[in-house]
Amino acid sequence: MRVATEQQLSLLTGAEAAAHAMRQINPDVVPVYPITPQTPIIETFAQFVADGLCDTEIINVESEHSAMSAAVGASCAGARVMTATSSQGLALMLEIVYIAAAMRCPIVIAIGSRALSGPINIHCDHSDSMMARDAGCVQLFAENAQEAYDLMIIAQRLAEDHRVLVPVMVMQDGFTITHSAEPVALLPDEVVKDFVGEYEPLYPLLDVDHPTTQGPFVLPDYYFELKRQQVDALDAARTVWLELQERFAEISGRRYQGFFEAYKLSDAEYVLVVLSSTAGTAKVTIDRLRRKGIKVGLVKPWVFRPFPAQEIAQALAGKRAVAVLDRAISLGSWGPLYLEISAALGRYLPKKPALYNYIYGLGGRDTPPELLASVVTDMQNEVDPTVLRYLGLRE
Amino acid sequence: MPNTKELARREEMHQRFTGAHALCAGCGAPICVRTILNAIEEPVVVVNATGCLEVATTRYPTTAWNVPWIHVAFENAAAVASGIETAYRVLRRRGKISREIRFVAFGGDGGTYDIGLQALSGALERGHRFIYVCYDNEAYMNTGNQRSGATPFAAQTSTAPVGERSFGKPQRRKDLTEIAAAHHIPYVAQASISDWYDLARKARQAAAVDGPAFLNVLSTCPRGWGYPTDQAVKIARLAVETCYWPLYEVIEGRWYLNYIPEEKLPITEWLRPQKRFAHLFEPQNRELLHQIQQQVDEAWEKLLRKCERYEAL
Amino acid sequence: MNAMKRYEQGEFFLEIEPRRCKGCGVCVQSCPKGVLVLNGEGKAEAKDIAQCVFCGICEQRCPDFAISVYKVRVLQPSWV
Repeated sequence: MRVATEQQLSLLTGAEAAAHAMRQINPDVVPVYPITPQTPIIETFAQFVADGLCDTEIINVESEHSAMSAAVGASCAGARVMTATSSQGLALMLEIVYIAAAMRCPIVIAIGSRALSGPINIHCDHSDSMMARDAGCVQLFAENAQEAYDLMIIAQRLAEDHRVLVPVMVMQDGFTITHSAEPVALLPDEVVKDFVGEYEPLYPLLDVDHPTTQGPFVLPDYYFELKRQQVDALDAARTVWLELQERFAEISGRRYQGFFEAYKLSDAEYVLVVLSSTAGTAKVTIDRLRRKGIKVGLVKPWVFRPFPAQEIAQALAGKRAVAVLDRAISLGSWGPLYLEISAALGRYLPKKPALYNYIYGLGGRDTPPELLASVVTDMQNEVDPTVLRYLGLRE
Repeated sequence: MPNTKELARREEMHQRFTGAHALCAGCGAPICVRTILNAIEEPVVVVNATGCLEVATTRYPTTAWNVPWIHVAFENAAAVASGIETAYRVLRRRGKISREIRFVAFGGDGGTYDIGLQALSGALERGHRFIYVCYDNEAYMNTGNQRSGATPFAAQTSTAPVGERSFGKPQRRKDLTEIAAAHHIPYVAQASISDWYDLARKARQAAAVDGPAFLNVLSTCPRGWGYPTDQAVKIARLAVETCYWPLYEVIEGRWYLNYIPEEKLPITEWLRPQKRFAHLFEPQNRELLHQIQQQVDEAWEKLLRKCERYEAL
Repeated sequence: MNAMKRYEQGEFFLEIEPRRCKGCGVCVQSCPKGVLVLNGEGKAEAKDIAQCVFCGICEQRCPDFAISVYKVRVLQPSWV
């Protein structure tokens, strides 16, 4: 693929890459509150502002709840807004995240994925973003620093499209990606600026000549219809995401084809489905197993909300077995990604592959290739799919 | 200086806040809101915390507001205002807006003294140019009169009720005006719906300072406090005349008293007309009445010592 | 019964909108001249408009924007 623009290759952590994306987008307002492991995102960005590399106004709020509240205020005022958080911070701001989505605020939220307390743990898992899955935001998962950078830029454009206008969360694995340096190709500043364009708010509060009442009190006679409109917003996000991939591929040479990365999928008999950085480990494992003649493939969704149920079901049709790896558990039930995929297969495929669920990596537990290989062995041995399994757990 | 004619004329022109809302007959909150909004000359954007004012004035699809108005949640009016004010400064700096706009946040005592205290404190500390108005009706009135940090000692509320073993709220209320002043912001004032000229003047002062301003306005509640609706303003006046709710300002950290009653009425004058204090007039509660008088007297003396001078209007 | 009530005193007018009036009585209590009362339907009305000094306190204090007090200005052409 011909790369349209010349890109500078830098050694950056995922946090730095996200901060560079923010610098190039140069939003109006960024409310921030520190929490491990996202703090380097806001620290790097604050240094960019202090050095005049962008002229965003940072609000150093006194809690994440106020960060999202200030973000909603600024967004409804008519400004372009971004913020960042993790884990407990996301939990604290969650009340307002639902409201931000309902009030149609196109806020980009960078998430350094971290386990939710208790017990308190600062390392990576997906319990924080999964907690927020019903809030009405678009949720994108990055595998590595390059994807974190790319998805932050795409997210801004996706959020602000008038057909969408909801917050977009961009997840990158805490510590594994936020704190590990990788080569990242940065687009030129002008190209990013041109790609994200200008934010055109529909009903800015600061337009005092056209006053609006935003966030009114609603009774049972209207609430249902207002919520239904949010469904349309997330449906539109599917369309807009696909449209944006064309444009992004033109400027970067990187194509986020469809809603998920398909790695050696077409002739695979056994499939692993996994989000984020463990997909990298999965690709290595798949290559090793392929050399032994085992036909394994990977589905790595970039888009978790809106969930691309039909597309994933179609991709898994005809496979012998599928193992869904979840880095979170919906306690009292199974893994969130598994639940989505199980529903998708049930809805679209009269004949389904065997479906397995493995909970892995909670609280930052390491998941080496051997463990992923054991999953494939389980599938080959046709183990009982009614049993929920755990990878790397000492039982 | 504001006068009724000028305020009435401005109100007729701009109609910032209008009637046909669902607030109770004789509610102090709309008196407070209308006085303040009409006293401010520049265009305003209003932020409203969850509570009586927000719920009763914006039952979808109706609204009593003719200014840009936003409600997000209960505890974050000051944080939302911080975001709007910051967006305004940035968009002005980037040449997208050129007008002067003022930002006014309204929160009840529940959403300000208690659950909203963190957001208020943060916003005051960061120095955003906005006015926070607490319309203090001394309990969580919208949900049926539950006690708040602003509820006075020995008052009856539904969550600290008077009973066989209880005389009402056992704790004294917080002094939020003093807490705001401790943030070293340019302007803090205590006002009441009974003295509308004082309130209008304070609103204008608040709009003029280049930084955060905090107004704590006593806003009577006929249903929660238990008095006939037409006494709304009179009861608020009694609060001032008994020195229970002094009118004062803190300008750049210097304290100024705005009103010294010619005759300081005994606190029983304030307590007697309100059903929420009726139990205090039973013989076994006489000691409580003395205690309350003592609390008011001590606070008043302390305030007199703090104030530099008496700013006559 | 629901029509706007309009009272005149020369160039001055006092209007009460009964549909907005909730009969709280704050205006009655606020009037320094005792002009206003609550009528049989519990709505405010002026019993003696001649006493009114058009101070505007009733208007400013009404929680429901039901009263308004104003003067009709006779337009003067600028060349007179």
